[in-house]
Amino acid sequence: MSETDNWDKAQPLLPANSPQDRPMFIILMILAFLATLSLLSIKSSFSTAKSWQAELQNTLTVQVIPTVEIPDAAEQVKSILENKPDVISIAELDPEYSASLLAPWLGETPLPDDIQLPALLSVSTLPGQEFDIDVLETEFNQAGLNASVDNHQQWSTDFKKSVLAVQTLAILAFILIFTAIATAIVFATRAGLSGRRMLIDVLHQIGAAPDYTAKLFSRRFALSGFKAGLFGAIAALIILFFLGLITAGAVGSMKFIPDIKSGPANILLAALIPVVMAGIAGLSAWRTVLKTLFDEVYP
Amino acid sequence: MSSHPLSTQPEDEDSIRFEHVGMRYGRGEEVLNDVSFTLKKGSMNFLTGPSGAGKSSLLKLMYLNMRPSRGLITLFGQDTSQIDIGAIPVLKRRMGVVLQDFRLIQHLNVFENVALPLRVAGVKRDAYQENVVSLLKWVGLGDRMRALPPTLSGGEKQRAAIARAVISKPEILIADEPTGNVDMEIGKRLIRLFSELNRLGTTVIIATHDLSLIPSGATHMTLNNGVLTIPENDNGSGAANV
Repeated sequence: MSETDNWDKAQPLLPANSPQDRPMFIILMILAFLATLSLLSIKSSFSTAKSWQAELQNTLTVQVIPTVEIPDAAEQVKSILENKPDVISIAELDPEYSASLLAPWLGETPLPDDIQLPALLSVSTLPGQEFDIDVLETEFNQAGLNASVDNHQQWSTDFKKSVLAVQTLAILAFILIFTAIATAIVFATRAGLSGRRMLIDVLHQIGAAPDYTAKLFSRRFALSGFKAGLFGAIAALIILFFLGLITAGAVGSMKFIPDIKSGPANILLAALIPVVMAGIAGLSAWRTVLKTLFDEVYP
Repeated sequence: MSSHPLSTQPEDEDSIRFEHVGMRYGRGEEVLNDVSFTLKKGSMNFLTGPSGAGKSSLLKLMYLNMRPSRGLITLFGQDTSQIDIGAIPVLKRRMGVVLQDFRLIQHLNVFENVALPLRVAGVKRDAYQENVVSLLKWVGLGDRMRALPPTLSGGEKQRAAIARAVISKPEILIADEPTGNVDMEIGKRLIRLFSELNRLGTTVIIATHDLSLIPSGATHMTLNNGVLTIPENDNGSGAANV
């Protein structure tokens, strides 16, 4: 048996777990964690805003004020609306629920009998159809009905502004985090190469082509960037999973927390982080090694 | 020692030729001044001179680590100023270099360090394993193949560095103060090792400040203040004035 029979694998020229790379690896992992949270929040804010926007755009709220002369005004308004081809459904809010909406201002005391609450009708319309509110209100008035129509335009405009502000901040945060990642990777690559300068010199001396050395470092740093990105992204997904469990059933602002149980889209998006980090690290190492070789090593 | 694992190179041409070469660092004075000589293929040469005389600079020009400020250097018949950058690795594989600080990769064991030039050249592991083992035995490191450089003695490191320099059967071996970090006894053994390599056809040039190490029959070049002198009675078997 030969003395080298059990030497199946060559030792790596660049060991994977070098202690000198560890601090930067941890920093990259944290940045990847933040980038994943930021990226998924952006996506979540867009999809939530889109869904809310769609809900608002396809609904009208009609407020009908009953009178002594026409006690069934709400029914008459309903029948007018039912004849409109673009109306899908009409739902009248429970009067008790309507009364409860006033409780924060008027307290729990029942309203006097002579004060009648307006009836509130929630009307669903076909998507993409724009109702002319003025025409509709005129039609009600001509029928002797005191009804006003709200297409939520004001609320929708305010909502759009708020959502745009949140999204701008999230995108800005993501850009800053990713710039920090790219800068940290370039710094880590240069520091890593500087610590391994002797290896570069020796490889050059024994006749390694520049591409060989560049590929060696590029692969090593790409793998390192991928690992840091992967650990950071997985940690972010785990946190989001538990946040999703805690806030399950919550409404409103909680919808902005990315729901990773809703499908593979969020996970696929998170998977982009390690891939992009690997790409930046590999490219950065490739360029830095070639620059070092041509600027300093080659005569 | 085991039988020699390296082959020889019979062609008859100059390995290295310097013509009126000068070299300076930046805007400083020339450290090499109008140096001209040829190294015959298969010759054994020693370069001596005091510290700061320019020995290392001269060797760096030989192994393409620096460019001259003026003059012409011909390596294996090729003008080095005309060599394409892509051809430099190929030329470097025809040379073995041993430096005073060994330059062993600390996280690779002796076997891997010595096998590095073959690995870089794309030789399959199966094809070089036995060669590396027999060379390590030949230089007396048969039982230290798995040792990491930090655990080696000065002499062992030096022999590992020499083994790495010769494993790919270079046509020229350039050694800069190879005995600088070892005691006299090991120094003499290393010189015998170089002589053995030379006997098998490798052109050898060794820079040293220790005149007692120079064996009889070897060409002795002296560098002083950047000026090279070669004994006129040298008959051309080794270095010669141009």
